[in-house]
Amino acid sequence: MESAEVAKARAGDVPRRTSPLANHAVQSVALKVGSAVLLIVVWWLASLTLPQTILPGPLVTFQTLWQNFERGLLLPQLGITMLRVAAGFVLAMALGITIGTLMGLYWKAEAALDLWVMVALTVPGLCYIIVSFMWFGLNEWAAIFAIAVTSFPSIAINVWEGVKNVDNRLADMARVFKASRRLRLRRVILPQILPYVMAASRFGLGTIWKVTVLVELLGRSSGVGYQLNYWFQLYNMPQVFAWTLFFTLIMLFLELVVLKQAERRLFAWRPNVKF
Amino acid sequence: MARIEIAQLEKIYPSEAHSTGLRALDRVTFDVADQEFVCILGPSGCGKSTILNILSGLDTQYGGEIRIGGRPLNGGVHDVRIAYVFQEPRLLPWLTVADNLRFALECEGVPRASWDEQITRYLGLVGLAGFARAYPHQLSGGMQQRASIARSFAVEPDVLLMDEPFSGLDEITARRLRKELLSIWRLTHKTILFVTHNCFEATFLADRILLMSSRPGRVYEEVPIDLPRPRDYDDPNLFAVNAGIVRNFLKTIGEE
Repeated sequence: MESAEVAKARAGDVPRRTSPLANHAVQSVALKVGSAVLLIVVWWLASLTLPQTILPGPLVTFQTLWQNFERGLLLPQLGITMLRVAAGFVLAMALGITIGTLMGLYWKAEAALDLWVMVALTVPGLCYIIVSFMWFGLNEWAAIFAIAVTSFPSIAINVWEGVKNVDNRLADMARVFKASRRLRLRRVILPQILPYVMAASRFGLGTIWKVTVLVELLGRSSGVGYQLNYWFQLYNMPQVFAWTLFFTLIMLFLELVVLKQAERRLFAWRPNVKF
Repeated sequence: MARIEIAQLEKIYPSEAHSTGLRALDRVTFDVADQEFVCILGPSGCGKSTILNILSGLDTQYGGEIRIGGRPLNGGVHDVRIAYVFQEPRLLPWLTVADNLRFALECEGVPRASWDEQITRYLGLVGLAGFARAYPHQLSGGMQQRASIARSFAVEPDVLLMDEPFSGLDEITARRLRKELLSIWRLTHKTILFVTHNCFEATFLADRILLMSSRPGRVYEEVPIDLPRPRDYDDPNLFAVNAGIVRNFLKTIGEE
């Protein structure tokens, strides 16, 4: 017995190509936008049931955010925070990649350091921040140092894993072609650990933002974290929400525009995983 | 002169089962003349890849004397240019085919000015002329192996070591690549030492076959192949010579 589709096809009635929505890129954007809209709706509904001092709704929050922007308060504070984040990120990546690579390449480095990296990972960020401010004073260097020390262990561990997963056969091939140590490191090993560095930087960036806000709350008088604390002390929830929302939007922008594009460019050569 | 001279080559692995260690290679002695195509034919695990690893400098723990181009192979560092084609293509996956060749040329210190010309020439010789900008994952297994061969030839080595390069491919592709290899060899006059466990492949390719037995790894016989070139897969003489080799080979394996 022929199925209906086969009969139709035989009669010349072949189904048309599926609509553009079948395209993955479009679907992906649609899903993201849809989930954002859903979240805002849920937020709004919840805010109707609770007082403004506990859960301000999306409208109040956006209004407050807009007022801040008009008064020229938003961008300077954000700029200060981002500078700290950038400096902390650079330092954390430098430390993390160096230590992770050393641990992956040399068993002695691994034996000496792995315990301390794990310890460094588990010490609460708060401890680093407090100690850093006490040692160096309530200044910018202490802040950046604290940020970097809190976030480098996870970067080191990711890179360490990446180096251990390097394909030795490729390194052998390079050795047979008389590649120097430097050339092997730069052209054979580093490209293989790049995906791990990418993952580590995403993870690291998430931690760094959190730590930066905490650092600002504890020991600086500027920046997004400082603002959050200031408005919290005044029990001004709309402002707290406004600053949190602003922060989130900036992070989303960075992730979608900067990191995703960088990832696409760096890994254009990778085939898609099929399963 | 890219002549290889190996005398009393020994490789011993420490072993729990044997108090004197595991003899991977036992006083292996043979020569490869300049521009000769020699095959080492032996069963899996007989140490034939070990010989190539030692010759290429990947393995520096061995006993015995090795000379390449008349100069001794001291701890793997010497002046003769050696290229190695592995069983897997071992292309860098983040580089295009052409960039993979450039990488090898850079490692070997070949002057930049000649790069483009050599890449074009050797990709053309292996039939990958239009694929210079393809990534390895976009190529079939046979094409990747061809790219690997082009890379080894592109650095214009004096000696080419090949470790079962076609064993991972289907027979049809392998046959084609063997013919291509022979025609490139005739054009470029390299000295080639080719390792395989495939009797027919050895008979088809070699000027001379070195038969190896395993445990301990030893070259126990040399068989010159006097068939004229170019050789034909359907030649009855080839078949007869091969039959003799196979008999010899099976006898050795049977003895183990």
